Amino acid sequence: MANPEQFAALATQHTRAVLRVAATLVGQADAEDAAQEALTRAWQAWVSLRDEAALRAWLLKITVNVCNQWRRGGFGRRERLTVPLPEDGDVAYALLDTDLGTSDHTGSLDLRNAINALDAELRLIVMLRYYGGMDASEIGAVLGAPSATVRTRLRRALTLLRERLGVVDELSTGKRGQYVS
Amino acid sequence: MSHDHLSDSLGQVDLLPAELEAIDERVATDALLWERRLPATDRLDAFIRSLSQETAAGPIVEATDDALDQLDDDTYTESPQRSVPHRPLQMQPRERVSALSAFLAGVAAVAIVALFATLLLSRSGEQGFPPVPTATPTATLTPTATPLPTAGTIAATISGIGPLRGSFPYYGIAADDTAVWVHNGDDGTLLRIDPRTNRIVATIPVGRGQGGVAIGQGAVWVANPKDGTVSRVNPQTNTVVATVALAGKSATNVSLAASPGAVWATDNDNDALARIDPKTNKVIATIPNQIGASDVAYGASSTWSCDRGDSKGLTRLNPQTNQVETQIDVSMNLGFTCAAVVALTQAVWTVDLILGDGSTVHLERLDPATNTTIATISVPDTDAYHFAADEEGVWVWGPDEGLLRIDPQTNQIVGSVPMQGGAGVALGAGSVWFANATDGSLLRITPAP
Repeated sequence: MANPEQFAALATQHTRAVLRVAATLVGQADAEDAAQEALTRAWQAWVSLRDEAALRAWLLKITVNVCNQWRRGGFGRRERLTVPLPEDGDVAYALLDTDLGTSDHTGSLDLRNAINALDAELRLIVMLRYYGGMDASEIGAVLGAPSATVRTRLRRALTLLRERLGVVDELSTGKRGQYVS
Repeated sequence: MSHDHLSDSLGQVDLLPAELEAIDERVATDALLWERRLPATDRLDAFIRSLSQETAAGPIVEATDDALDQLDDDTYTESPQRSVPHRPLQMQPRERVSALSAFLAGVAAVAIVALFATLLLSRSGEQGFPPVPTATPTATLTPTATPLPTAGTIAATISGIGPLRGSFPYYGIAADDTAVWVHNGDDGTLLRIDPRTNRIVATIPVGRGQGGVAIGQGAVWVANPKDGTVSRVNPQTNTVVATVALAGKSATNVSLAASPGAVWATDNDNDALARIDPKTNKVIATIPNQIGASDVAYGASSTWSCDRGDSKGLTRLNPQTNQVETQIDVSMNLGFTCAAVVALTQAVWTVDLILGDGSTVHLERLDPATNTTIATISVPDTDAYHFAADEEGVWVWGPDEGLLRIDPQTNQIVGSVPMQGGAGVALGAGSVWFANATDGSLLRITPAP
């Protein structure tokens, strides 16, 4: 059982990870609020945490659940996402933030649009893996899938992205396969 | 986070094929740019500290379904109530919820099995088919609220096998009484450990890529997926004496099994099983239609292959004729597919999972005499590929529960050993061998009596 007095010392080691996942799922504008909510839930349940070694995965799972609820409007207000909700019914998987700001490469827009065009589960795996910084076991725990399944789907997602961005590159540069080794 | 770190943790993903490395790099780079725009964590850190300064006392409000959804039965135990004054949410007693869930799940499982069996019997009767062997699956729900007994103790920690990159690491491991062989596919080395001294006694250069190891035909066989080869190692000299060419480089793990007169290799990319002749060190036969072949084993005089094709699970091959003898449906009409297999004389064990719904991973025990299921054991959230079995016990690893031990006498989970970073499990020399990819160590575990 986790020691309540250790909450601050241990949880702050993962603040950045919680914030990243929250920003991935609800957008950067709402990330701090959603992260705060997730951390509150974690504190409420802290004494029931059985294995402190699993703290990071536990926090991230709570964060994902809170963000899903957040995006469904479960906190009494609609989310302030800058992108529309996908047409995935009740699942309502997140879309990647395409508000790039001024410092990013313009190529990022093509990439993020391609990611957002993936089907919902593949998209979520890519988002959590790269932007959320979660590993396969953590993603698997969220999706209820073994890590082996996660990695298979990640490869599938990357293959699709490569194919789709290859077409974009061909149109924009006149040659295909810019990103193909 | 530096870009180099991103590449290590995200870019080196499970033997990514070369053609995906560029797109992997591009997404990782974009994620880095994206992350730089995140705010600092100062305010959240201060918020955390303010939470922990609250007292445990606080208002109690009714629990909601959404609130309960925040919690995971696998992660939580029954606990006193705690609330936070300014965000009061109160959880119901988890024990009651868990017990009710377990009861309902048990009823559902029994009902499904009964219905399935009834349908099978009904159909066989109506259509005049021979009687279908009646499987008697035992759905065992793992009570996570009660800590499992210790299944074993760590007898030795052998450092120096080298960590593996990526989040999906896999060491091929094979062990017998004389040696434990560990394949580090990132380093391209096969390590030999002497079980008498628990020391690494040889480091043998092999090919590239994380792949399986098998002992047989007086040799040790090592799969090198990135090279599309299998290395044959002479255990007398600890040198590679032959390199067998497979159909091609593989983006996924290659599993190996040795049988009398043959070595078998999965070919996931080509949905096939390759048969290697140890006399010529060449592939002499390819068994097609092994859709998504993920694992192969030899036992009970047969070769067994996990696939996801029409067989819905497990293919039993005659190793003399290379002909499919039986295809065994492990799906239970619930969508399970076979991910890994170990074949013993009296039992064949598979780890089955539902693609996309892996929380219901289970072990299945089949009787090779009748090709029927005699038990199923729920092992939720375990990694299907870190799994080993012998007559004394079945071991499977998951990030939450660690290493679980199943007693083949009762077909029940009887204990666990908390372990992190699992990337390989094998049995041999009276021990369980567990590889940790994070720190590159091999742990020797003595099973509890």
